[in-house]
Amino acid sequence: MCDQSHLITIRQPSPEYVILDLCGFVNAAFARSFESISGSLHNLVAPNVVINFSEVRGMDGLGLKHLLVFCTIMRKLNRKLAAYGVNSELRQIFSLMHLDNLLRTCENEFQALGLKEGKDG
Amino acid sequence: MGEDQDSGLPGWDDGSVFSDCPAIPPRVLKLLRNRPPRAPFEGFGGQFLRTYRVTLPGVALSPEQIFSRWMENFPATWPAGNHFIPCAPELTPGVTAAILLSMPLGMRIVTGARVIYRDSVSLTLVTLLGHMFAGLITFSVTTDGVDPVLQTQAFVSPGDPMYDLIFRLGMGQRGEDQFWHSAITSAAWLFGVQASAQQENRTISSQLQWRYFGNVWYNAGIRSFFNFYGRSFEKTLSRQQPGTA
Repeated sequence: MCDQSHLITIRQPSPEYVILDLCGFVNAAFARSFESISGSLHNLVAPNVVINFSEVRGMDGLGLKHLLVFCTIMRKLNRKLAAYGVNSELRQIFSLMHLDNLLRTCENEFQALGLKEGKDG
Repeated sequence: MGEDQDSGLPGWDDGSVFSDCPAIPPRVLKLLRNRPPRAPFEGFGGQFLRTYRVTLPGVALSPEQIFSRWMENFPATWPAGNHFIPCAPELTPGVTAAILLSMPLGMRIVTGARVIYRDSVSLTLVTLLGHMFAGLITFSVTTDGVDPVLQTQAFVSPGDPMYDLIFRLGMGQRGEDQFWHSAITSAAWLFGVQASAQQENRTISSQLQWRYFGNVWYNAGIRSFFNFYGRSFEKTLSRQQPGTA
């Protein structure tokens, strides 16, 4: 699924959810993809955005910044954010930056898609 | 970007608690204790992405060599009267640094930042609670295809209502821009390049974060006022025991 040709792939399993599959090492190269996705999501009515980190190999400081910019824009658009596939190293960064205040971390895709019934991210 | 990208997440701060730091005078250190890092969304004001760049034409060094020299001389590139004092000889992940800022009218601000990430061509600082900004500042070296480029990029939010007001009045932004223009052009001078900085501003969100109104309790400007107003940081630092600063 993750062949590095697309850094972020969008899936829409239902009208209410959009899943973003991130691929590879999250760094400055993701800036353009996040920006393009932000534009696309602006026109979609799906109120929930789920970020899949399962295929993420790592992240650098600029990658974290672009992720935060993206999440901030989504919150501004009143999208609820969730994440899954977050490995222990990424959890360390999430904890360091208090990302739980910005997006809800779930164990798997199924749980993330239950966001609507769960606690607001 | 880093060279060890395949082995987990090297280069990140492990989140250990900031303890003692002999390089920092005790009266400065007390203003840094119990000040957790603050992400950009944990400030009171809107969120802004401000980027400063300087191209180094004709510099034949690799981005890694340039970045290494920049970081070795990082405190020296700060504008006169301002100090960046790391708690360790090298800026590695987890290192906390004191930031001493000389402002107009004798105002002094003592605050801090922490290195949360470093690789061979970039370093990211996160500011501590009480700083004018909550957020991340990344220093990096890239190329524009031909020449190396120094970049400072801040994704920040005014930390509390007082700072937000100052920034809305335009005073904070002007000072912040002057500061980083000066710092990055000084960094370029390390490589014999005299250049002006290019700047790009982007407003990510202008929404106020009322839940962080209480950050004002830790406002470093207010807390520094009584100890440092009108005083010389140089004198404070020179009183440190020899060999500890």
